Amino acid sequence: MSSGLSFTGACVGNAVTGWRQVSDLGLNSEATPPPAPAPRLLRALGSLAPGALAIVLLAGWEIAVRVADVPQYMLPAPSAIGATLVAEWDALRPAWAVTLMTMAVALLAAIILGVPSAALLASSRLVERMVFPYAVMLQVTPLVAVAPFIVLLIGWQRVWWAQLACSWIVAFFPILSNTTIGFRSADRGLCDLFQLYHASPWQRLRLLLAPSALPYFLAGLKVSTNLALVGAVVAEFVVGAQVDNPGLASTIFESQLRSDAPTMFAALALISVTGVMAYAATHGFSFLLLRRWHDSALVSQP
Amino acid sequence: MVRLLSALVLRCTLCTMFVGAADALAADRVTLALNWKAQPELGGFYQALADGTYAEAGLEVSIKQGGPLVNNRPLLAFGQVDFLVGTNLLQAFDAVKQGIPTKVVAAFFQRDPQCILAHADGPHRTWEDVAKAPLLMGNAGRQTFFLWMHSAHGFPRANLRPYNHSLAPFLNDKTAAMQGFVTAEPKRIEEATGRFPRVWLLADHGWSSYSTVLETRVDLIENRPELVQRFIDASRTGWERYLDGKDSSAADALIKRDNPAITDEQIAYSRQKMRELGLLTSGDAASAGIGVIRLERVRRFYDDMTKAGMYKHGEIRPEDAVTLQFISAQRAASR
Repeated sequence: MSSGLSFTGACVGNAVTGWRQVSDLGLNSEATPPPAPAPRLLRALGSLAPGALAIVLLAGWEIAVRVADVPQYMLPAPSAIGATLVAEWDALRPAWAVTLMTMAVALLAAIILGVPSAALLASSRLVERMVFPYAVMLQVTPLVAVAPFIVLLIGWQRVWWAQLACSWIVAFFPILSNTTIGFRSADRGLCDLFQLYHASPWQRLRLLLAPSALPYFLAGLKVSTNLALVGAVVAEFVVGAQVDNPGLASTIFESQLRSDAPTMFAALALISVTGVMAYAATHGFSFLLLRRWHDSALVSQP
Repeated sequence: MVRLLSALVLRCTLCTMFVGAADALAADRVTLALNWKAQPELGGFYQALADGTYAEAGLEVSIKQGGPLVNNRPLLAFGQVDFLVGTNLLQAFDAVKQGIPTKVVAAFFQRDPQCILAHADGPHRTWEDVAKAPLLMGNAGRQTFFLWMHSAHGFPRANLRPYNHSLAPFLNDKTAAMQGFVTAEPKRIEEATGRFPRVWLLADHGWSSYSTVLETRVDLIENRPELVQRFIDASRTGWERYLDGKDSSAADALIKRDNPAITDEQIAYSRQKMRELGLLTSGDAASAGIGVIRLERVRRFYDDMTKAGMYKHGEIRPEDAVTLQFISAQRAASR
């Protein structure tokens, strides 16, 4: 016990000097001149570049299909896929809504259950060693193999819940493992400082643990968001379609079965758009939360 | 040992053939893609391969299996396989609809083995009853024959339950019904529960599609009709011999090699059912032989499916999905 006390005492000095060093470093970095800002025109062009690349790729696809005279059942041209999207919109829209809903709820559940679980795992090495193997099992077990079992567990009357569970399993792990590391990476010196000043557990969580875990959590969220989408689609394949509300996987399955390539590509286009939108949303969200203080989101000021 | 011997015999026959007939040297290599894993319901093709019927017809055949996660259909259109076993006529109609240049050239099962099963000691005793049961059905069934069950017999969509080729959910619920092959699942259920289930064959209730149909590309039909003919004739012989069962041990061995889960009992049961129910040999096949296609039936099935909402009226010409060039009741009669 006495050795522990003296260790804490030694750390206090370190923490305080460390703290000062950190703020000194911050001042120093502000003192160095930022790189020259890009001209406004160049930046405007830069913001158009992703769209321009998309247009080039789609045009290349369209031209290649037309020049090589690829039959539509093999690879439909973007124009044909677009036409199918419009023509089949009344069937595609509800299916898309179902997939989006499954994805969103699974992601939300992954966050709601993942973050507290991560806090629990981070609280004790023993708990982590005890529980983590099961989290890993959850992650590596192929969905295809466990889906029928999940259906049995949840009950075949509730197919959507089984799909949700499958999607959640896929989305849960990145949030859990990243956030756990995040909680663990709180600065040791600051930990000691909080202890020294008798910070309440709430203050410790709000001012120290949460900020240090946030970038890690957000990195996990980026992965989980798109995994939740993949999970929502794959789950529908392996669990089976809902009778009243089939999602995009059913559309894909049916169009494959019926050799209807344009409809299949239209469904894939919707999934891709969803993925890109979700990617942009999580990155934007992450930037908003981190831009003021975290290295990963710092941009050179114009 | 038996297998070794039969392999030796086969090899010797092949040797004599190579020595004897020069054209056997130029055997045509063709690939047949199946719609499912090796099983007795595909036994005729394995028979023709195992007993040298394909080889005698100057064909070097390799078989590519299907399965629950395998879709071999695109391989045919894209020229990576030469023949494809299709489950029923619907996908052939879809090929016409999508402009895919493939056609059905022979129809081996005159009656589709697809059936609905319920527990022997469950509450559902009749076809009308079983429409009320929770029905375990996979995606493919939902998009095809269930649409007909719904439109022609009022099976409600709300009763559909997921099915992943596992018997567990069915065994778990005495009130449930499930899809199955009349040649396989009753036996599997009997093995699991000790009792034969109640079985309703869709073909007995008006489902008129051919099953296990042979499809090939239009370019083969047009440019190599003699090759297509040889393949069909050899496959018919294979099916006749497989059903007969006197000399099918080599075919059964091949099936078990490709799909080790199949047992001898299941093979025996399947063969017995195929014969007993006349799945391949009833109807037009009784007079014209195995594999026969009749256009009126194709049209009638298309009309039924239009009523079931799968096609718009007049959307395609159903006769474009098949060709009677190689095998038809008329041809067989005039022979």
